[in-house]
Amino acid sequence: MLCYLQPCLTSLGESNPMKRLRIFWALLSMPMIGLVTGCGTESPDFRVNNVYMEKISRELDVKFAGQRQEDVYTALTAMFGTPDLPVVTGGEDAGVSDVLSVENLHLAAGPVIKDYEAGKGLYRQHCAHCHGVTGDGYGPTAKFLNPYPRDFRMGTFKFKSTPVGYRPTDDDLTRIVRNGINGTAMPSFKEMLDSGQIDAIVDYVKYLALRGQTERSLISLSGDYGYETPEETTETQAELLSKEVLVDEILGAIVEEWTSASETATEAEGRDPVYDFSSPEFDQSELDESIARGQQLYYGAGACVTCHGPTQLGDGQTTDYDNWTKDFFGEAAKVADAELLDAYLTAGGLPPRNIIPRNLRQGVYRGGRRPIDIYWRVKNGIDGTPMPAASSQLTDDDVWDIVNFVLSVPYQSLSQPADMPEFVRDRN
Amino acid sequence: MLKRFWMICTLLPLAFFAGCSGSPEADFVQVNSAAVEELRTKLASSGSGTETDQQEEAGPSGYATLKGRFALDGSPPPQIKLDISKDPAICAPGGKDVFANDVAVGPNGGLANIVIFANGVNEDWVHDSAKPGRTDEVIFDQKECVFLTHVVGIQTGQPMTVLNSDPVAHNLKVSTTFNQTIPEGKSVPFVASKELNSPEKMSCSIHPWMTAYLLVRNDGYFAVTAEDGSFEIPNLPAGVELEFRVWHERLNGIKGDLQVNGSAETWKKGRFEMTLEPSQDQELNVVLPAAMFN
Ligand code: HEC
Ligand code: HEC
Repeated sequence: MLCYLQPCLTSLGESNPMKRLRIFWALLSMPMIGLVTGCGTESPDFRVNNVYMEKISRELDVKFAGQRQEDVYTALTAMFGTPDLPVVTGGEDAGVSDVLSVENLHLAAGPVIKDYEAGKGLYRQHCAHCHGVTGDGYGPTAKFLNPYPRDFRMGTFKFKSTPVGYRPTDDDLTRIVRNGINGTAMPSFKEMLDSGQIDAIVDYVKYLALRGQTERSLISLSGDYGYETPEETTETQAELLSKEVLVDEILGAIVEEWTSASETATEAEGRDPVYDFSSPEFDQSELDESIARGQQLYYGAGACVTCHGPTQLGDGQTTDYDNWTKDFFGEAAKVADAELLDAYLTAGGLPPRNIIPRNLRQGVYRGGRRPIDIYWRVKNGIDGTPMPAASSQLTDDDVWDIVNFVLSVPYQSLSQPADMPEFVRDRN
Repeated sequence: MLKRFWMICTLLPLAFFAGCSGSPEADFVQVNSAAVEELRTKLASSGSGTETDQQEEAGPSGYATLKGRFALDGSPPPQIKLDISKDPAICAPGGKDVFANDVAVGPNGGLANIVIFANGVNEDWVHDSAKPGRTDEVIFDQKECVFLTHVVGIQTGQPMTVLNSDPVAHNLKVSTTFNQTIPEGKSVPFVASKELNSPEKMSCSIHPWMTAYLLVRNDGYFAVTAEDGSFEIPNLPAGVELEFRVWHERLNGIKGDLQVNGSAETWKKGRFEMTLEPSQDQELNVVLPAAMFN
């Protein structure tokens, strides 16, 4: 039921996320809640990554069918189990216990148990209708949402404290699940789930990411091997389906990315940015100067203007696509290739949409509105999207100036000069 | 607004059922549960995987150079015109046409920007001159919204300076691993830490038509063909079988029927094997039929 009600919420528009959220909770609390069982399937399976197989089969001129495909999914099932019974086989050797706890997976996995107290099946109850049982961002409501729900299978996340190309920390994922993503369909769960349940669900998201990344590695590696004769098949299976390849090589490398995530988190450096407006020492003119410097950087060395536009409306560069789309197409221009697009849609890709830089005048920050959240976005860029990290030539103080400017933009009227003081009080 | 809400809600059950039953069969693969169990036992067993016999492999009997040229047989494919949708005064001065140049054909049909590298060379066999840890700096510049090196090869850890010689900002996005702004007239440092088995795309999100490729290798056994299609990889281990991989932007791995040193050959998946004679230059002249690029 929830599956089909959700889109109504997005149709209410992004302009009033609070109202939307309230309706969302009203719907959630209806008695229909027990019916939400991942679209009624008794025991759903993980969906295969047809889009990625299509990509690799084009690159390497191989067909993913028959034994090749069966071997990939035999290996994946042996390693990760099923939606009802998740495991991480060989995880001990690969160091997976540093990333997630298998007991947590069992709390989050499985079908929704009617007795709500049992607290099982959390993922399928709360997340699967958007993110899909597989974590492929292809739940039944997905195609009606904008932005689409996250596909976890590349291990790429947007709103985090680590630089582009690195995995998120536990804190990052926990923050997202607790607070939701303002201005999108992703709801906040802090009222609905206790911290133990959120921990369990975060581990389950990581499990789906590890599984999805492993699936991709397996598919591309499998493309390197031959299946043409029975001898070749036997040889391939002996090599590919070995502990050395599956656990030491593939899983080990992926787990390592996740265990090292917290070391790569960006600490806030530079001048203390958090202006304590209630403090007697708070100096308005200091903040005004910082904002003015930030504004200069917005148009200058920060280059924000190129995408977010001269009036911050987000209209500077609107022809690009996100990494989840470009993973298949390679580059933005190829999305227009009708043959390629058809192959993508046939394989189960959601219709590509341009990624639009944020309208900074609305003051809706998906990754959080604290100064540190904006600092991370500007300093590191937004992974999976075109938004780049600020140049390493900018100092941390420069970055804080940009943050102060960004946070001031929604309070300026387009016609007023940038150094208006009033907004600061509003902001507080 | 309210009317629209209810309308949508009545229409949605349809969409709901379409969404749930719409998944084609091919979305799921049946696997044999006995095979899964068997593999699981193997993966869960303690100790490392299968012993490899790599130790017993005989080492190289010397070193040799592989050199030659890639050329096109036939007329070059039509160039793809790019859509200069931003900063046209700088990126297409005078309103000139800008082309992708993804198939760069030089004098005598020479094919530039083809990548060739030896894959999986045993670390112990690598000649001193090709060892990991190169420190000389590579300059990667952009002007008029064109990356001046279209395909660049570096070793892991080797410093690359990304320059922006344009009067507008660019950013360098390296596939999924790096994305940083380079202000006008400035530079930023870049270091790659991970070896790649195939070049990764580099782009600029501000000017999304800008394209270049980056190959990162631990050892120095790689080359990118020059304007005339020529390349040279010195000091390769000889007397042992090596696997070479060959890549072209439009083709990915170069595969299919082609000519190697005058005789017909078929490459699969963009790779071929070869054993070099010690202290002897080995010629590799490859001719690709123009039809390959259509
Ligand atoms: C109503 C649909 C919906 C539901 C329910 C939902 N999500 Fe999301 N989720 C989204 C959307 C949409 C996004 C993408 C937002 C974006 O890209 O800005 C998202 C993004 C995410 C992200 C990525 C954040 C990042 O930094 O990239 C995570 C993690 C996530 N959701 C976890 C969950 C979990 C866990 C649950 C269940 C407890 C859940 N979601 C329930 C719609 C949903
Ligand atoms: C190459 C284009 C590009 C450039 C340059 C760029 N951005 Fe962005 N920015 C984006 C896109 C695209 C998004 C939306 C990402 C998403 O959430 O999907 C975005 C989102 C944002 C957000 C919203 C974050 C949130 O939590 O919702 C902020 C704030 C932001 N950018 C600030 C800046 C600032 C400040 C600069 C300059 C230092 C800048 N951007 C440079 C493309 C760009």
